[in-house]
Amino acid sequence: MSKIIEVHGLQKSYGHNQVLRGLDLNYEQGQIIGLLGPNGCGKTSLIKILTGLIHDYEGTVLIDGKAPGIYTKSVTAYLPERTYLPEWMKAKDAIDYFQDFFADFDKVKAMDMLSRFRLDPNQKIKTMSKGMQEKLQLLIVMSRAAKLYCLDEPLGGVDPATRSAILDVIMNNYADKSTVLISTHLINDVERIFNSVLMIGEGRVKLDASIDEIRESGRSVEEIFKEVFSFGW
Amino acid sequence: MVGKLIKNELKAGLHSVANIYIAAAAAVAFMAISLAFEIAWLTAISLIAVIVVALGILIVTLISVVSNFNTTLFRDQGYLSFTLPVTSGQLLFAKALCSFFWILLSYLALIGIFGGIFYYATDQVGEENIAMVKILISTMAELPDTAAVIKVVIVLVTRVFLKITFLIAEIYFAITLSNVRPFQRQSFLPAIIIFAVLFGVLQTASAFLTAYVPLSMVISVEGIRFSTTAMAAGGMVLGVADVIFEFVITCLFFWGSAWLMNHKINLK
Repeated sequence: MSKIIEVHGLQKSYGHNQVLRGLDLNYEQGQIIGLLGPNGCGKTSLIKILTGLIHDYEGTVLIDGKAPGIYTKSVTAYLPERTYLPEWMKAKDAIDYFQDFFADFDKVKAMDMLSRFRLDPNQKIKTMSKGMQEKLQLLIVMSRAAKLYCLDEPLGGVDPATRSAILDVIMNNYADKSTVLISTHLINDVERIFNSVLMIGEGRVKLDASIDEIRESGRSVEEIFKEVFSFGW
Repeated sequence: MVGKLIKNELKAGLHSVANIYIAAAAAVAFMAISLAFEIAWLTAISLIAVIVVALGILIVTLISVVSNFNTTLFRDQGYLSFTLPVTSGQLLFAKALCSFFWILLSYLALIGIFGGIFYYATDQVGEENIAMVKILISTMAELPDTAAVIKVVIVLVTRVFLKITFLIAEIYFAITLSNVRPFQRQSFLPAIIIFAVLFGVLQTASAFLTAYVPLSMVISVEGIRFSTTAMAAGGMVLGVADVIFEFVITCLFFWGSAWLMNHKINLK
């Protein structure tokens, strides 16, 4: 199976603050990877590099065998931790926008999810609550048949019932053989869906293991997380 | 992809400027009604409203150009713009083209509205405006070489287009540079300072070139010719050195903005 993510010696600094200190990662297609770590450990920076938002890093990054660029952006679906849709748009405008730019976007699927989420296609994004905006973004991102989904804190700031609904959307809609990278603090809620877990701290990989390896150890992901980061980082 | 970028840029721009154009249309309509029914007090009020709204069109358009560029690339919407499968150059081109369109439209609206006011004002004092326009057109038609007039118009229109493009490039570069790490934490201030400094330096350089590099274009009935003297007899003389300078700087600003986006911009 071909590699979807290949990272070698990845380093990233913001001024004197080095957040990634030589990361090495290799992931094949068809996995759900949990990206875990304390605040400020470089999770979002790693995702931004993978999605082509950050360019000034050192090391090698390949997505589906290519350096971040037009091709990798066309096969990567990105859900940031903030709302990025223009406020003047209506829900249906946002769907049309994605259909314009992404060949793998499925408008029928998006409209179907829109009605299941009970969102009005004609409602302006400006008038939506934060929760509604997050749902809209999620359904748009998951309506793509991307090779790689990078979801940055998709469960942040939502109630437990919505968390469950969001996880269902992710599980039921990601394309076959694609890889999903989910960054989160809410390990309990999501560990059931992971195939692999990547824990980073102090800018380095602290743990990179399959969920089977973790289960064999007889501990949960949360227990290992607490153990790895028990003395801070 | 560029076509799709332009389509969506135009839609976004329309949402920013639509209200001021609606306001302008309403003000002009009120003025027309007041003139038709000869209501003096309403004419006075609507005339002031038309002038204010006409200036508003230009101001709102410029604010919209600045705000749209900054918001869609360097604020939260940047997370969408920079993850589209397009290059920074394509993003810049689409934005610049649409900004150019909106600025040009605002200039035309301003000229149209003030032209209308001028017509109304001169008509009130007994000027025969329509007759004057007819005389002007017939005079132009009787010139020995009307092609020269067309050439002058083309040169002047090109000059205006270059000025608008130069302004857009300068605004874009100032905003992009202000979003590079050392300036990123401050709000709009670095962009304003960078723009002001660039404006001052470039205006000085342009004036210097005009004064000391005597390269000029002479448009006469015999056609267009270039001259290496500041003054030339037998036609209309336009400086060329500052035009070449502005063209080169415009290209450098666009290239610099794209380079910064590709190498130095980290979205907050």
